[in-house]
Amino acid sequence: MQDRSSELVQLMMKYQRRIFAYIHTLVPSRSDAEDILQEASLTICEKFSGFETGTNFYSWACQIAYWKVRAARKKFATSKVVFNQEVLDVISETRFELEEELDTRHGALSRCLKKLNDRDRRMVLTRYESGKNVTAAAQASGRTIQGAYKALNRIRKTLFDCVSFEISTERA
Amino acid sequence: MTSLSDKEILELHDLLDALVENNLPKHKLVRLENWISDNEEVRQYYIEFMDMSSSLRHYAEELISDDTEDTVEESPANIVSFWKPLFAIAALVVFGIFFNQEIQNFSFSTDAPKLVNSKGDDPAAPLERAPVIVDTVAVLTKSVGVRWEDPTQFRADLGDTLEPSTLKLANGLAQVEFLQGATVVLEGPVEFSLENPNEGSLARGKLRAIVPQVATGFTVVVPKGRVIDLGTDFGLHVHAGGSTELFVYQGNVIYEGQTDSGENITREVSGGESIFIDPYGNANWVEMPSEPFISAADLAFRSMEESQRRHSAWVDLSNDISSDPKTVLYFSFDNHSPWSRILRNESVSNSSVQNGAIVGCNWSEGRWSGKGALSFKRKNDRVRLQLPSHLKSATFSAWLKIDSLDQSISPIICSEPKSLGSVCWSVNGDGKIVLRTRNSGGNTFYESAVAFRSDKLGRWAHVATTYNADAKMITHYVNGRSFSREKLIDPVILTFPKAMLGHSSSTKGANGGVALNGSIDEFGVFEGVYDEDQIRRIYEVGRPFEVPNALGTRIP
Repeated sequence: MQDRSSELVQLMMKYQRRIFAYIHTLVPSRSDAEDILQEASLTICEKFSGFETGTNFYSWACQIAYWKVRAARKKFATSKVVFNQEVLDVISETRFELEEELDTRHGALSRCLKKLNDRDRRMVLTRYESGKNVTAAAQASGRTIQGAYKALNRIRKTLFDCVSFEISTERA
Repeated sequence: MTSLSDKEILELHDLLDALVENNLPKHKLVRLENWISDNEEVRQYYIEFMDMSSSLRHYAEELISDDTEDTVEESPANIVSFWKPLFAIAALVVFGIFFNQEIQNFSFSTDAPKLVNSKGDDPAAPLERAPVIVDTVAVLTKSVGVRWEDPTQFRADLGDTLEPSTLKLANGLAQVEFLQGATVVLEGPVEFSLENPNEGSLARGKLRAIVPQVATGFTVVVPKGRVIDLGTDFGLHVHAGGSTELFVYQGNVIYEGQTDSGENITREVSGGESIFIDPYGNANWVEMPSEPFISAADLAFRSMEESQRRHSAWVDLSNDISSDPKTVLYFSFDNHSPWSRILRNESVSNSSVQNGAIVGCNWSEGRWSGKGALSFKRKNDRVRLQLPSHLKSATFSAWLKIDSLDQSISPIICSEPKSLGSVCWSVNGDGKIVLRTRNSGGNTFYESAVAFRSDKLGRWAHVATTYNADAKMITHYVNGRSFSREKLIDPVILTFPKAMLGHSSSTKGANGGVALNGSIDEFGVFEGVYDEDQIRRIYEVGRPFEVPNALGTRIP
């Protein structure tokens, strides 16, 4: 019994970043995605006895997460950032086809972050800290809020292009 | 796969950037949604972009756990970042829920993770009903003459709870009450962002803040710094060029900022004092602000003037409705004494025998102070009606406030169901508006889409439904806008035998009937079909212009 619980904790530690990334692709609001991750984690825990050791935990967990997103869609009906069901499904399917590449991009992003200057790196990472908003990022980098929005837009574009470039170089 | 042009990539990037910052306007979301759906390359770009956002979150959290700025290396052993779900799991394991609970027959396939059965039920349903995820920071409690800068961007309605967002007023005055207790009066043109329950930021324009002791620490971010309140009343003006004026009416505030040359500035400003921060961040003491700030009392006065103007417009409309020969039944609920047991039919073309008999219901306050309403709470609460009309086509209109949808039906007007043509107009347990008619073959139900979600409960809303026998169409309206339409099958002449307002005596499973759990403060039945303009006029003129005790009813 104890083995099963430690197996669950180990699997969650290994895969939760990817499970969150999966949810976040379907639910663009980060705080909503975090709440769904919480709910999905509880269900994963409850249903874990039905999981067969040695099979694909990530794919099993994502199906639970997918249903959590579907259930949450009703609650988000008034939000302006939730896609319709058809789009959710097509995004979800495409995402699974890209899993391997997304893992590579995750690693490349670490290298690209190092290439940013200190001020930009501090700002973008502050923005993504739990509970921090653009105001916090603006303060961390000594920018106005308007300036922070513009800078974040630019930094994201730089990082995205850098990651794409790193990957193409690796493949070459 | 088609290849995106540079221009398209830039557009896509801007859309995604706005999406992750939660400020993508509705029409652009639709554009993005269609683009993702139709174009595989866009879809891939979207997924990679969102995945990058997740990865940034991961690295940011990892950095905190390491507490060193230089370590952003991916490290599988160092995954304390996603601690919250792990705590949840650890807690379940500790308390033995995981292994002691009867686990239902549940098995997800572990094949390729194609998402199956998009129409089926959630196999993980036992844990549903999680709390609604909201992040309310303030409530819009007054508005006078507000014109929004960009109608396509976010615009709040009076009484709306507000999540972190930016309010851009081209004109007019708005009062926002933060959940922590601070009140801010915005004077258009102004751009003000709500950041959290005790913080906002002023990009341009004027505001006046009234901060009780309980909200001490209320902060307004301005271009070159921030103003931190110590329990007071102050005015702020951010000019187009980036300079800021701060005037303190009473109490103390602290200004903290930084000049362009990197010098940190701190000023404590007391009642009667004023400072001017130039576009470079330098702070100077000045005698008085260049323009006065609108106070909450000024706004209340203007709001009262606006209320009086709005009220007289509603009285005019109400008189028009009363004198319209097509008005079959009209209850304005106005000018009744609190002990009155007769609900007066104001329709001049129909005789007073059509007055309603109030049974049980209590008189209460309607959409604005002084406006009468009837509340229907107990299961026998009702207004008995005599309505001998026979209508080929008809329009139903009501202002109502539903407190909860915990019963299968919230009746507005229902008549005895077995007579041919009898009508019941209601909101069902799912929040859909329903018109039930009795045809030769039995009852027919014309349901709208979901009109009442939790955010509409406890608030006044206008609903209308038209029954158009000529066009064979039923149209439901919510707050002046056509909401859904259904094809009318087998038209009948509408009748109202033993009709009751706010009550249905024939609801399945409800012995003795069921009453609307809520209030009504205006109701009409009209012969013929009102068009959308007429219905919108009833809504626009009659919509509430006060928010009594807005916070009191919204904070749990």
